[in-house]
Amino acid sequence: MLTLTESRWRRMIRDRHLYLLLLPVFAYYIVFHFVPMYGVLMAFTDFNIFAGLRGSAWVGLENFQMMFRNDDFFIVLRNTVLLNVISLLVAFPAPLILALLLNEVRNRRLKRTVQAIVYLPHFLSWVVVSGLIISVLSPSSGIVNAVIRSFGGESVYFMTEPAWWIAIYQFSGVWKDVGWGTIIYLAALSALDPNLYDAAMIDGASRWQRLKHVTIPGITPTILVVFLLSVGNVMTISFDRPFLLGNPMVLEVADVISTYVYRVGLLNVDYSYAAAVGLFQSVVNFVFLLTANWLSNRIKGQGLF
Amino acid sequence: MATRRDPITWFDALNVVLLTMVAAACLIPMIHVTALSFSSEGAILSGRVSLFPVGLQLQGYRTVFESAAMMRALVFTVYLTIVGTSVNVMITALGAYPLAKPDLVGRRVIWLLILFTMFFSGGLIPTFIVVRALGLLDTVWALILPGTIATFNLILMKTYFSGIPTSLAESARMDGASEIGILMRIILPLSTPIIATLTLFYGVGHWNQFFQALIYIQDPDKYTLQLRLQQLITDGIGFGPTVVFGRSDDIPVESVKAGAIMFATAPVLIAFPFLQKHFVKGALIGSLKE
Amino acid sequence: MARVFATIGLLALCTVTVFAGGGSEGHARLRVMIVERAEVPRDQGRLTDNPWTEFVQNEMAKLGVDVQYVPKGGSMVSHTVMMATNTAPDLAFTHGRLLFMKFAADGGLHDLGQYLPEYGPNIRTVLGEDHLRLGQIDGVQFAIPSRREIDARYTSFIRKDWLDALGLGIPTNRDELTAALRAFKDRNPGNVPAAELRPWGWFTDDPGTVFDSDFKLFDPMYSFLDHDPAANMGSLWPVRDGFRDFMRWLHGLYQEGLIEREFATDSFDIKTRHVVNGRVGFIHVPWDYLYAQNSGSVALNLARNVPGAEFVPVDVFPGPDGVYRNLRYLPTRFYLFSPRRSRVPEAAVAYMNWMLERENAWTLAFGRTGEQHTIRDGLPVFGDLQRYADTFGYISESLRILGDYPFGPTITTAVREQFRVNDFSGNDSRALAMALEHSFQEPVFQSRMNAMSRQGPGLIRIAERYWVRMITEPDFDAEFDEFIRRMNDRGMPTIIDERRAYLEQFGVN
Repeated sequence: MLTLTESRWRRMIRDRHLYLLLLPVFAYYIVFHFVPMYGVLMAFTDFNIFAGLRGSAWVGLENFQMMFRNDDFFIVLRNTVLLNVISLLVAFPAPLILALLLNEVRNRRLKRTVQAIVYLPHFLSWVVVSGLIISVLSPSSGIVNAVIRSFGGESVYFMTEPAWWIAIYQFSGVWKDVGWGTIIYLAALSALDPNLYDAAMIDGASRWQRLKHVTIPGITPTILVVFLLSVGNVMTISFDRPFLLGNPMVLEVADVISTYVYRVGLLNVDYSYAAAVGLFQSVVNFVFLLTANWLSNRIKGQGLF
Repeated sequence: MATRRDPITWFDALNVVLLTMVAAACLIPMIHVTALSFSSEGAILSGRVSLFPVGLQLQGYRTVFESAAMMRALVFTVYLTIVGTSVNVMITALGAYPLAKPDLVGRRVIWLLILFTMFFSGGLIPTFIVVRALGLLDTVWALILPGTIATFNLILMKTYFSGIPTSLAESARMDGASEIGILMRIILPLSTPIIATLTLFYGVGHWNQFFQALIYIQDPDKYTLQLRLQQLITDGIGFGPTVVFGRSDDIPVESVKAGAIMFATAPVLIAFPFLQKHFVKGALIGSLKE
Repeated sequence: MARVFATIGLLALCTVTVFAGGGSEGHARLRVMIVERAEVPRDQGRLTDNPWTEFVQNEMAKLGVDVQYVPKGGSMVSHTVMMATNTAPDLAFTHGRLLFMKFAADGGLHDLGQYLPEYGPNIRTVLGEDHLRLGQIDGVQFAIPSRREIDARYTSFIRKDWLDALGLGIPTNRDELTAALRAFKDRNPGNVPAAELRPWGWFTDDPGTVFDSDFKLFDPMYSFLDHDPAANMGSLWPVRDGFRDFMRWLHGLYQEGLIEREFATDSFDIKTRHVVNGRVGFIHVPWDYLYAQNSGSVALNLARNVPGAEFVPVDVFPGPDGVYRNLRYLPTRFYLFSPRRSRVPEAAVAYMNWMLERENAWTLAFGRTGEQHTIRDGLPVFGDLQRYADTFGYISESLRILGDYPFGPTITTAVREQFRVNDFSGNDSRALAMALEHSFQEPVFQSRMNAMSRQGPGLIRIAERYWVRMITEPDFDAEFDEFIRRMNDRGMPTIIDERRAYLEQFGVN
């Protein structure tokens, strides 16, 4: 035991320059993350913005009780998780597949052109994109339904049928961010050692076999990182997409935690309640991340940490 | 990795067709916005514009380019992006390098604490108080320092560094190189793909800064492009004083909006190929590693 | 007289009080919030530093107040952060009544009432006691409400050319409207392809935020309810007599195909597109929707697309007593206040008082006589409008934080006419007049309503969902009963009780 501690110390002394490099990083996390963290206490108070935390009444778990007493909250909870789980199945693999397909393109010019185009939608805000989507899918005046009708079909109410709405929600997310998502994988792919491929070629491996035995294992650490962090966001959906694509007809599937907090917390200037919901989200997300990371370490022998 | 020796198969043909379709689907909205920016107000309102300009006009762009506010925002945003991204990438590398070392004492604890910050934050008001206490309000640093490291990017870089064979660093250490020297001279030159990636992520992040600018910047001279854009599109605060009065219908409000979107997006689109080169090149040039 | 009074008072104050802020000796330093409304032309300087801010600063310096302008974006989030972190200016404002009430209830605002007699006599005389009440919570004057000259809200419009083609007169009530809508659908006077025809197009007035489209059809709804201000205040519309008939009426129109099928999902842009392309026969919209430039001068573009097409304003929603009533906005836009931590609330009041001096208000509204305008018969006459905009118009609205000074209808109308370039055959003036006729406002509560603020958002969520379903789903009665049941489950009765108690205590305002 003593020797272990000793070697620990020795390693720390050996690596002292590394810790020195970490100093600005520590400073950043302490100043901008840990110092302000006292703010989570807001969730346990009836927060008065003028009195600050110290001057606000302490209400214990009241905000949380209010949250769990509310039927609406469970609906938005369900919607959030549901949309995210579908995303994990659809939107998570999409950029990976696209990156692999791009990687197989022989013509360099084509490859770079496609790459430069697919990330374009990322730069348009959801305000613009949602307007476009609603207009294109409009049952009476949209181009998509015009095509359906010209084939003798009936107009589809994409934005008002819950099942269709979920599909559109997912599709629009993939479409907007699939290109952007490939960047990470392309960077990882470009770091793979070409010698491995040459060796595989010499062994007579087919393209499929090389993909399976060289490419995928090579970028697995990156895939894992993206996957684990997606799992760690199971309770989070950012506000813009569901808010701008949603409408009263699909409220039962489109209302998620962020849109709910916007209306119940912020429009009503109820910061404590919003903070309580936020804290709940964080705890669940963090637990999911730790669990997934633990599993990943057990099964694959690697994880985030 | 397809090399010359593989025969061309049906897969290659299918792949090209598929990717072309994906690219087309992604190109359409941009073309649409471009078409809007050149179209007349009446054509836009009537919904006649799809992929080509209808009722061609340049007044939209003229309004955007003549706007002093938009130009100031452009200059400020370029400055913010360059300074901010440099700081981000440097500090992130400083963090990723030691943390990539598997036997660094305390690594797990440090990671856990860092990941913790991804999920738990004190919220707007406490962070604002810190920024104010540091005297950063209404300066470019208020838009840079609170986001010095994006933890996601730190993880990416650390993952990348972990993949670089340790033997290179070891031999340099034997030769008496300092840690910072190893990072600068051995690790970073091998890391162009990840540096390009992070430059893109951080750079686009700064370019699109909106919310922080809304909170920390009160002086309109230091508004970011996206803040201006947001004001124009959602709050309807226009460029040029004439908009105030609604005196005539010759100011194409909708095409000014589209023109401003293009104005704010084009620089990123132009910068992208330069970064793209780096994360494509790595694989094509051949082994940078041993 | 009032100004002299205020000056003396303020000077007295300045000699007695030592102010912590900088400012020249003996002067109070007052930080005033300013919001960008239009771009400041290059040669005029900046938002916080231009010939006109300088003008106000010089004038206020004569009164012993050094004004410093603090720019602020309009966002509610940044506003709250400023208030919470003690960085808000000494004179600040918000347009949200909810936010103002929250600030007041949390003890964050000065009681300005105590300073009015000494430093703000104009405030009381110009704005009037009734108006000032909008800024009071439980009788305390926490804010000065700005003044809104035009508080008109909705007007109905119908395609005159379609009526003419069918030989129909202008409808004057719901039954005639329904007949006209039917005729539009069956006889299609505009030769619009059947799938594109919308006898009644439909609008929410919030572009881009379809999701929170709450109920916007106030005027048609109130035409089914007895006009009863006490009931407006002490009850809620879902339980009022007539509400069920109203929803049933809409349901019927929709099921008959007379109402825009996609009213709940289409964005503002798409709805406008249908109007501009001449596919819509009737609309009930903000009164200036067809004419305002920032919504695209819809009327002009319609006339361009469909020659001869003309919307005329119509009164079709009389109440049970036969009177055409229209809901109007509150006559205020901003709540101006001084944060509790400010040390110079008196100076803030003096600043507002200065703004309400007729002469100053005139300059801030119309520019300087001889420069931006000349005076003929007591009315301002603007020559070169572009020059007016470039040398003054850019800042006028930003400085006039107290809103529209009541110069009287003659001047107001004369000015509006001069800035109106497009000719809408008088339809725009008629639409405005109609929206203002017999107008009434929703009740204003001047105490904090706890049940309403706690349960309100949940109720709105249900209402959002059901007001659409009641119209679109085939079984009206089932949807309506379900709506009422869920509203009751989520606390509607407690809100009604609270409102009734308020009514009993304070009466109708």
